[in-house]
Amino acid sequence: MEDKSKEVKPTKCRCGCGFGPFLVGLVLALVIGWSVIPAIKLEEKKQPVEFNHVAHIENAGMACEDCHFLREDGTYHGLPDTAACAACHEEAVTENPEEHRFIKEYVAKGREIRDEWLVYQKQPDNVFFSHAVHSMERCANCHTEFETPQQFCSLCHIDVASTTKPPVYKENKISTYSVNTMKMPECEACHANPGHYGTTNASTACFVCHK
Amino acid sequence: MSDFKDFTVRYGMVIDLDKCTGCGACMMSCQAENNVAPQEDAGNKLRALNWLKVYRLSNGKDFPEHETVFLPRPCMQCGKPSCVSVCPVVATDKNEEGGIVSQVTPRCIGCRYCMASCPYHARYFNWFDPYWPGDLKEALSPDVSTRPRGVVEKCSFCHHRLMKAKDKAIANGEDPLALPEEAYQTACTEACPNGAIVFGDLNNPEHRVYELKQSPYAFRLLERLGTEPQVYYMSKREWVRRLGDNYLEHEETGKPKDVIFNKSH
Amino acid sequence: MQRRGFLKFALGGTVGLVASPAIWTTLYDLAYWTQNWGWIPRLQKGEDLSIATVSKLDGTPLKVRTVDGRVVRTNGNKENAYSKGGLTPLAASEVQLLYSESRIKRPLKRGFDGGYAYISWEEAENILKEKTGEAKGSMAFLSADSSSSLNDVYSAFLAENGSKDFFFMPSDEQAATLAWHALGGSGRIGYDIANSDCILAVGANFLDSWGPVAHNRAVFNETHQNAEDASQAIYYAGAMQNNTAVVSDLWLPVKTGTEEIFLGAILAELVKSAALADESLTSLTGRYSLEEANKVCGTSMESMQKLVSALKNANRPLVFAGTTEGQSQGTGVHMLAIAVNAVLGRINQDGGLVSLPMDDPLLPSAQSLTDIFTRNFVSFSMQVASGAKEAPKLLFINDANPVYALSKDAEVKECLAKIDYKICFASHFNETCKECDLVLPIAHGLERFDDVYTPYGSGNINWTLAKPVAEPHYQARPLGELILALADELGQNLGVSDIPSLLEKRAQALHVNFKEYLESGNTYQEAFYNFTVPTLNFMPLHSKQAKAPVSDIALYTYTNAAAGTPSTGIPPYANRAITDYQLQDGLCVAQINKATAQKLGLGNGQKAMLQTKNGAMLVLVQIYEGIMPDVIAVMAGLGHTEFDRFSVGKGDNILALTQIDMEADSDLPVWLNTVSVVKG
Repeated sequence: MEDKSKEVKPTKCRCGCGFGPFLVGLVLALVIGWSVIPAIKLEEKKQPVEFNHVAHIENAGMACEDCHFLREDGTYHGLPDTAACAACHEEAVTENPEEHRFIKEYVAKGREIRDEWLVYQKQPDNVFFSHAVHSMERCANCHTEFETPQQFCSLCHIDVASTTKPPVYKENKISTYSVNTMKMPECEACHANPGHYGTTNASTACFVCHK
Repeated sequence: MSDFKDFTVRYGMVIDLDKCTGCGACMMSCQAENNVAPQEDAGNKLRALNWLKVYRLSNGKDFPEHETVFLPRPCMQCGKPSCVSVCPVVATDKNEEGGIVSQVTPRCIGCRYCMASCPYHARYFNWFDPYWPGDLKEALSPDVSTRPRGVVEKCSFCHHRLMKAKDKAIANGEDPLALPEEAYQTACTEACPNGAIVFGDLNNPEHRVYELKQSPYAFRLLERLGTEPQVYYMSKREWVRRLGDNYLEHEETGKPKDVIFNKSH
Repeated sequence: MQRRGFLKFALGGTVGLVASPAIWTTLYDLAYWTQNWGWIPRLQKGEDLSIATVSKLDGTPLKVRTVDGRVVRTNGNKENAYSKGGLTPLAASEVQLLYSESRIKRPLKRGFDGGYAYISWEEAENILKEKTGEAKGSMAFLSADSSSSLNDVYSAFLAENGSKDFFFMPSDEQAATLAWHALGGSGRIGYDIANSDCILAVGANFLDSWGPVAHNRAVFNETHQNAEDASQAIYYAGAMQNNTAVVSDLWLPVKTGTEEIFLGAILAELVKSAALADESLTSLTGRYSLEEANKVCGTSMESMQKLVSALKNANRPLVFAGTTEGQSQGTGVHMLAIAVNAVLGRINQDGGLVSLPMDDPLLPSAQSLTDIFTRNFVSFSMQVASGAKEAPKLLFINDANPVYALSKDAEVKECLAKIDYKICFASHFNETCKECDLVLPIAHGLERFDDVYTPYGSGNINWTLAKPVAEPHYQARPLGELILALADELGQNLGVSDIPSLLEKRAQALHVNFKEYLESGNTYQEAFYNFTVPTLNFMPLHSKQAKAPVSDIALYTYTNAAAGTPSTGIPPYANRAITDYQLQDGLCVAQINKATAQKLGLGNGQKAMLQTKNGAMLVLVQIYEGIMPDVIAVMAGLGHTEFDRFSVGKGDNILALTQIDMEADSDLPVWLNTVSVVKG
């Protein structure tokens, strides 16, 4: 570059590099901004047990509602506890080493799996979310496009039903929440949608979601 | 001041001051229910924080004509909340069915305009980070988020209980906007062994508050200010009702009907 | 690179960063971060349960909420017909007391230097065994709670080890029971508050801290419907407009210490028009008159006449007397209250003063309440301290705090100093623990099997079961089981293997289903059936000596139910319920009215010194017209030196300052109102 600059013609840029440095800076920043920083911010965590949804649905013939259901009091039973798992897994039923480990470390010791499971959509303490309100039955009053609960639930949740091992849990080191945790604009996609006014109780009132 | 904010459901209280012994059970339950951190020196009234506070009233006369009455003060959940219009960051609002004035503490910047504008001293600034020494944090309720220092907080009529009640109604196929009285009660109401606090939907004739608020003994604090509180008080004693507002000596208390009943109560 | 090239590079970098999500998402993340300060506790969810039990502090039936095994809240039990779901401030504080910093974590043994060292339970059990063996025949046991069936275990254990010295802390219950028995009554004395239409409570703060409070207040709620006429009239006689007085139909200011003269005057007035008054009563009337009462007690003729005619005209009037929690006025005032009920024809009537059966103890060698009440701890303590009585070798103290709660006149510290070995069972480290050689952590009321059996003030036989809602925290153990195990070690059989089977014995005695009541937390209530009017002899009243004349300025100590008991200290949340007319700037507030202030030359906000022969304390004077002239009111329950940050450093202990005297015939302690006030 220095050699060139000695021969510059007065009409040209003194540094003679045109958009070069700009482009280098731009590309470098884009790479850092799109992949390096997000990667630094994220910490990948593994679930305590490599749970296989497919095996439970297809081999054991279980339904989603066996573990994930709405209680009569309106609260949601999201995760089964060790006792519920132990109903079948008191003794090993397969050759799977992960199952053997689960029985040895959790069932036998009475350790609670629910306390250790990482929830992909866990919301902060000040957020109130109701599964009772956001049920497929209620949304189906208008939204007839959902054929299976799997489709409907996957609107917000990772579709785990067809996974043989849990997706990697990516935690944002700054916010300490999972990347899959919905943020307010995502809630507002429906809550602030004028099409919902009058037909649902959805609103942008603060206390509808916050506590 | 804001416009009158009307809703199909307006939760409110009627507090019978003739039944209040001032024991403080409501204050205790409120703190436990809403994760209000205990304060070592709650005697420092400039720094203390009370979602619900029991005041001692006096008729101002000398012994033996003196009379005492205790008055529990939650947030009045005003129909025209003066706190809402002054909040620069919309951390407080009244926009949900039920008419409870919301306070979203993570949004609050702690400017305290709302405290200045509230005529009832129902709002408190969090001077300290909440601290539960020893194992006291074991007793935290999972229902109400903890608040850091530097924000304003206040009574929410145990809003989480409303949310739970609505969820239960929805799960059972009932209308969440027509909850029976017993489905949703605040912690203080439930606690009071004297039944001094009656809670319900002021617009629902099946709820006791509907009738009680129309009693000739019912009044609201600073009624003529026009804040339209959703908390009513009642007392058979004239002097107590007089204390509810700044009545001049020659003024009669009674209900200024045009002020109170022109809304859809 | 030259400057311009660098600027281009930087510009490119800036555009690139702005075009990438890094800045914006990081800002968003920071917003989350600021909502989640690490030092502020996060909420923990989990299995949400509601477990029925009862508060061992004041007998309030409870539904305790637990989340994932953590005890989160005490709620009232709405299904319980006795309390109807109400919650007292004390019962509302149970959870915070359970997790309190003042909980004793492990057994403590006092060393030679007076400091405490943690020891293992094994070592503690060995000491227990050794000391009990050594002290056979020379031990005493002090308990605070007379409503628990577990007292049978303790008194049986004491008896097996050759001693009868089982005591309760002094109470209205003891004084009233002795008065009742002295007049010829039998069994327990009860007050059917629920069915009365006109109540005169003399000094008894029955809507706040006297008797089965949750029940009393459920009755108040029922009889006082909003905006309607009440179906029960309440007259409260006492020196201050306290919690009961403010909702009463009439507050009768009566100077502390003159309750006997007040009740005597009412008696004299009623006897005049009563048809069936017996000789032992009519001859008493000469001693009392309304005029004298007005002069001494500070009442007015108008209000006295109003009260007398209300009692006469009521269908089911009821009169009872009481004092500030843990104090007593001797038997005289209770005898007079019984006499007034008798003249009104209200003994063993619906809504009257009732005589309830005093059942046999559940265990063969246990003592009945009647026996236990013949001994009182204050005179025991004074006699041991003075050497008039031989000190026992061993003293057990169960969750009582006599060092704090009793006047210096009771000489508790001096008494303890003379006893070789003191073992204190407590949940919280209190002032009495500090004087003991071995301090053992026992399970809090929510962590153990226990019961509340017909607490004093009940109008019927009633029973509520307590069961553990959580395992005992730290190394605490339930005392009942501990004593049973100790007896077992010593080769003694108390007649029961564990506490649930002891409680089952109670269920059998009452002919009720144990499991059902354990599950539901309901209160069993036995309908009152004994309508036979007993023959009472009021002669003991004649021999009562007139009390010493009251001092010019009378001290009135009152309690605030929210502020805890001597055994609990001030519960964490109660600090907000202690008002600035009770405690200010770390000083106790003394309330007086204008007239008194003028007389004493004091003004609002000034400091003053309260003096008795037991010492002095600095107070802040506040003018309050809801208090009668010549009375100075100070709240009890402050001035703790032990417990935790929520109890220590708050005011002074007025209880220690108060003087006591012994009533001649009953040998019961009488709390005096003597005090002198000087400018501070």
